[in-house]
Amino acid sequence: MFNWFNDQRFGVLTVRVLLLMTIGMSLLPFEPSPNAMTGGDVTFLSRVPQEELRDPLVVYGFQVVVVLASVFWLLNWLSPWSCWVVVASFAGLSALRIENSTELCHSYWLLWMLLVVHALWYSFYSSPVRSNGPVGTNQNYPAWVYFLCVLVLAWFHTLSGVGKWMAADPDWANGWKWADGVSLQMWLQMYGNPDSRLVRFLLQEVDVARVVQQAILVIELTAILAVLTPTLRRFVGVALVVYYGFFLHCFVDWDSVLGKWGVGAETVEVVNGASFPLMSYGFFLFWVCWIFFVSDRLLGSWKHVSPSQTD
Amino acid sequence: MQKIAVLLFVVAAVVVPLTAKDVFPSTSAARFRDPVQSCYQFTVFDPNGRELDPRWFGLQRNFAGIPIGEGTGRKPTASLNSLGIRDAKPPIPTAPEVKEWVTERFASAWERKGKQGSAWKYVRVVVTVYQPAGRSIGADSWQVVVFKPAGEL
Repeated sequence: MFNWFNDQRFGVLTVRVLLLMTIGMSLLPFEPSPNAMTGGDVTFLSRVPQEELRDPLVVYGFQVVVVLASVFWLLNWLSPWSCWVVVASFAGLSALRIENSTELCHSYWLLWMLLVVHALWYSFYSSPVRSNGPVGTNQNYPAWVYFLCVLVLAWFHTLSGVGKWMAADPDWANGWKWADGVSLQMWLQMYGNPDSRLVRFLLQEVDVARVVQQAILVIELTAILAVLTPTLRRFVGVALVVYYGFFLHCFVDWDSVLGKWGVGAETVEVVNGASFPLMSYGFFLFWVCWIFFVSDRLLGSWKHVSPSQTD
Repeated sequence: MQKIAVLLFVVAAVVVPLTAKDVFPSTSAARFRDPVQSCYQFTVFDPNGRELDPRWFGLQRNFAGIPIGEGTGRKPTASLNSLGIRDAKPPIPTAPEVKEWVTERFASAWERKGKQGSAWKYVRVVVTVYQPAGRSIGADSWQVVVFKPAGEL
């Protein structure tokens, strides 16, 4: 029976999951937006003429390159070059989507960052990774690759907390004002799952909402501690699982989602429901679980030297 | 070489988001950043009491937790609901503003509906404002009846 927590191929398995997600996200439907531009730079492609950003052929071209390069990477063909083609083309495709989007999706960013980390790994270890023997599997998943994955995930949440703190008080003195309970109640009122008892309870008790909101801010601000020790990493991991569990419970109208998929009785347009964070939160929760709870014995050593002599 | 690559990545991953903010591939992770202290929504009904899609009238809520326009290349479809737009004034539209806004979009809304059934003689727009009320959230509603503009539909 397959037991991935004890499997020696954790690094390779992570790459495969990443690439399958990359292919899936690159194939999501794309429609150029007719809406007016926001102005200013929002991606590295913002200075490119707008006609290019709205040309379906450009999008299809990026999609083909992402998929082909991902397949090459999956099969370990032409690595590490295929890895960097995936990184570059996925960045381009994500930028095109963002340029034509009215709402930000952080999943592109996370996936891209993890791709960069693993492309770096393949750059230094492509020969042993390519082989099928024990040398070419987890023994070559160095600790720095894992460390960078934890850093990416943890820093994202800390950044979010810092942004909230500064939005409440640009002078940095008292960012706790963000966690006043009222704003959480407002968001729950706007987007909360009306069938949730917890949502209804929080809407009635601003003091409890304030405590919950303070806990959210603490979890976000302290997430970066996960890079320090395995114990802290797991502690932060548990906190983030609770954090995403709370959001997925409170902000996703599961009846609507299941209805949309034809599982439930009612079919409600998901866009109009409270289901906007489903993809993003589910995506982040998956990677928190995947990265933060892996067994230490599956991870490499900082002292590991590249057998490819790249270094 | 590996150590240099790792060091560069760490510095870039930490510093770039603090300086470049939401310029992809950088992000400031801004969802739910601005603490909202009140909000409002529009609900539109036809003369038979059937609820109509507020998007037909440009009354939809565009705000989804991330400040509108930050990190995205396109503005959302125009709406009288300015929640999420920084420094939007006034925050809650007045009855005459709602009336003028809906009147201007009456014909296009009918077209977006598909012109099925009989044309609306009027639509009723209910504005619900949510504000703190003690320990919970209080809702205050008022409505505007907007008649079909003369000579249209």
